[in-house]
Amino acid sequence: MKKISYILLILMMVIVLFPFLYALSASFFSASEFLTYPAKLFPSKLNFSNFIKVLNHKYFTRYIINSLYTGLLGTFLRLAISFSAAFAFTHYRFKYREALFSFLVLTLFIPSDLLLVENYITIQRLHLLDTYIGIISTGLFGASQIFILRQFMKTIPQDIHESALLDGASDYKYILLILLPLSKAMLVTLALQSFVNIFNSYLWPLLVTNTPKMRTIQVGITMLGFSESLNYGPTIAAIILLFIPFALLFVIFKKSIMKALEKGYLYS
Amino acid sequence: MRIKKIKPYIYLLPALLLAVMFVYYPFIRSIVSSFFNISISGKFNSFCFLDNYKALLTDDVFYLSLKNTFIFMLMFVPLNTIFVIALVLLTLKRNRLTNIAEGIFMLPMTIGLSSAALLFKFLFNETNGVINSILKHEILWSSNVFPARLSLVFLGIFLDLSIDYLLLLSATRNLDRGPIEAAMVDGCTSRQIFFKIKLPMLLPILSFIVFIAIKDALLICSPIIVMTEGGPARSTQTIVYYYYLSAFKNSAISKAATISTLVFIIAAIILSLYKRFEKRRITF
Repeated sequence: MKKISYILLILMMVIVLFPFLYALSASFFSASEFLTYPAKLFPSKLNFSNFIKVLNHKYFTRYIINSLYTGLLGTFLRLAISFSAAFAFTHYRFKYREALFSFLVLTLFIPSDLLLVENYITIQRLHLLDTYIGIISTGLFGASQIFILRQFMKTIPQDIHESALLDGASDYKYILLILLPLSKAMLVTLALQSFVNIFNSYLWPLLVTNTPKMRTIQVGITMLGFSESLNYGPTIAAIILLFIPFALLFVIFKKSIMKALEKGYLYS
Repeated sequence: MRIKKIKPYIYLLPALLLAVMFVYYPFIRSIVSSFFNISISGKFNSFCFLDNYKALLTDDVFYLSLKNTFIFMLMFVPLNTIFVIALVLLTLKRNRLTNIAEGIFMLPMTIGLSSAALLFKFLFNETNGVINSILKHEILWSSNVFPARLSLVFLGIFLDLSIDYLLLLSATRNLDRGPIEAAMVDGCTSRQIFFKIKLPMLLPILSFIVFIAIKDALLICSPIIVMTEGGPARSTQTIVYYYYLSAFKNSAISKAATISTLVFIIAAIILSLYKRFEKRRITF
């Protein structure tokens, strides 16, 4: 019984790992090696021409820069906006507090994929097509982040805030000197999640960008224009180049991701 | 004093504005749009009450897309759930092998949706794809209906795998040991413990995973754009893909609005069924 489960587990590992292993191997194929029948599993020699082709692609680095820029800016703004909202909900008492909170969190029940058309029209009307602001616009509001940060800030004793205010400190000082250091671990996890989420988003950036110069990598990678000739090499090399940094990021943060999951914090 | 009173509202303002602008406004507007004729640029031309619905409900492609969505759901949801449960059961005991396995099962989360879809498109290519050569069969993944659907299901499972796996794994590992140990002392077999104690305790997280899978199946679109483009013969054209096509390929904004309103209703029904199921479980 134990043996069977080990064999099954190894089989499952191979199945899940297979797409990655194949991509890694195929990124070294020459163009003709994609056309053999039966398909090859390993390259005859390590040739880096696919990587060179991708890196020399007119827009590849531009796509990456666009994705990094929108990913970082989007993450920062999303967290800042969510942090500010969560701060209000936990550190102040005001009229309609609960109602406003429900108003924000109920958005989680509206499938955002079905808002694409109307949001596209909004962005078009604001003349924000093909701009970075347009790409990150719909990602700036993160209801789940607000929810999570509120849960977290609730655990911080309120008297700290009150005594800080009595001592004449401003909210700004309180946030900078006390709240931010306390929420650091939480913010790192949320930032990682937001960054991966924005960096990897596909449909919205596809819709709001038309010029190659503004495309993000996840959109651009489907339009590199190599695969028409059945030469998948450069595209697969691009997938590998993109995949490796993210895999490393996840290995580094594996523990904090697991911890966040256990607390139910990662589902958006 | 007055400034202090409006302070929290100022902190909330950006989030509120964005929620209205990118969620509530488009949500309401798309429902209202379904009762109007809309121009390509989004202008309301004329009120037509239920005409859009009448047109949609006599549109064969609409029914076909709905049918395809539910076929996809029926294939995807059980397979996905069984696969995730199997992975969790196989890695429950911590040792060196399961530690590596955990890392491997986290990988699909790190690859972007479009990269994964492209990769699967290459893997399942019917003329020179590696899957066919490993299986030693010429399965027509992109020209036959069932294989095409199946390859899309595989992609869907791959995309959802990591998060589902990690959720279920951490829930299983953090189960309350009390009842389990009591049962062990009373001499229950491990099978009894699994089916009578662990499974009922895991039901909330399992039903959540199933619910998310149903929602994902209902809303699947991007993988189809990259991998199958709805083919062959529209067999993988789902309802949200049809919504996307109507708006962005055929410039039929009213039609897209009508489809989205109907899918909102379907999503609401699924959500309320899930809530009802959750409630019943708690009272039980």
